[in-house]
Amino acid sequence: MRAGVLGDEATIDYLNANFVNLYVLNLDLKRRRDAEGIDSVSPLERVIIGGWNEESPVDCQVISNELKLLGSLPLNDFLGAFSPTRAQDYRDYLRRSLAEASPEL
Amino acid sequence: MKIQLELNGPEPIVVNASIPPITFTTAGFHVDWEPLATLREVESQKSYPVSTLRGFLPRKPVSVGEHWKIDSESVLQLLMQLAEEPQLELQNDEGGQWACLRAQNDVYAEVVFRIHTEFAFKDGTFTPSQLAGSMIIDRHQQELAYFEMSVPLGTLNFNAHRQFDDGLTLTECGVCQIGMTAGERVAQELTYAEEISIEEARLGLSRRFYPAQFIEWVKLEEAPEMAKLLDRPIHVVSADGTFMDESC
Repeated sequence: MRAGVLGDEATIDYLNANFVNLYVLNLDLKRRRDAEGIDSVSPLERVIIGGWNEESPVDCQVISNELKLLGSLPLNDFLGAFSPTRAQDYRDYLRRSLAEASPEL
Repeated sequence: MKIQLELNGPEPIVVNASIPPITFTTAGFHVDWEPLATLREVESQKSYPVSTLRGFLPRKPVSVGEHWKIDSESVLQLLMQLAEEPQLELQNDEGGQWACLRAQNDVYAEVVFRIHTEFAFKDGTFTPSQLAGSMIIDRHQQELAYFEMSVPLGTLNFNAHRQFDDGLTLTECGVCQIGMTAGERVAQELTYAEEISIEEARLGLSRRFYPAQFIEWVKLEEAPEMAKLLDRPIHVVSADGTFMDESC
């Protein structure tokens, strides 16, 4: 993934130009949630956890700056089906989510 | 300004190595898998010729921020103090070893480096997230002042692949503490004539391994405010494994 869709130059440029980019380790979120309860984690963490896809080790989510979940892509499913345009497909996913975040665009 | 880094004496260089028992893996490999349960350094102290550490230095003059590839033979010689079968070619990702001149003044030069390695067992492999290190060279004496190399601590910092007799392979992550040192830490805070921050140096090295490091990642606690400020949505990669190193 880091060498694939997220290592693609056009995708990197698109992400840097249009998004605030964040990587989180699920174990960190689970530990905080399990130790102190879901209400004790930050609002953003709550949205991320709420957007997890079942049995998906990696989810790529888009969250509005009002902290509304706009998309949550289970990455293994996405990568499982071969596509010669995978990086483009990922950018399309981002574009669709971005359009939902800013319909006026 | 480009400088030539020299390392000529004195012999030998004594390197200390340590691998304490692993106390956490996500599914218990450190308890029920012998190679992980008994993983320790091969030799806690070993002497090396200066030429081994010289292999970490560039052959030509370099500027602050410049990168070079470390000599793989030198790296392997050191890693064999940690494990019997270290490898620089990884099974599932790109190995390698890169260094960067972080800082220099008339007396000292500081080099930081990053190594990706894998330890082979008869029924599996152990892959540290990375070996991150630094070395300080006394430029007047052309001596090693200090050397350190370790697996950075983190929620998870290694990956292990265990092969079973029936062909099944299981993978899990855990936390280890692996470190090597030589020389004495320079007591006073060094003031350099030219330098880049340690964060910038480490980011530059990580980009040698992962193109995705060219994405401008922010910290979790900074993301909501930055999203408001820039009027942008947040793109989140939420993963079971770490993303910026080999422990996934």
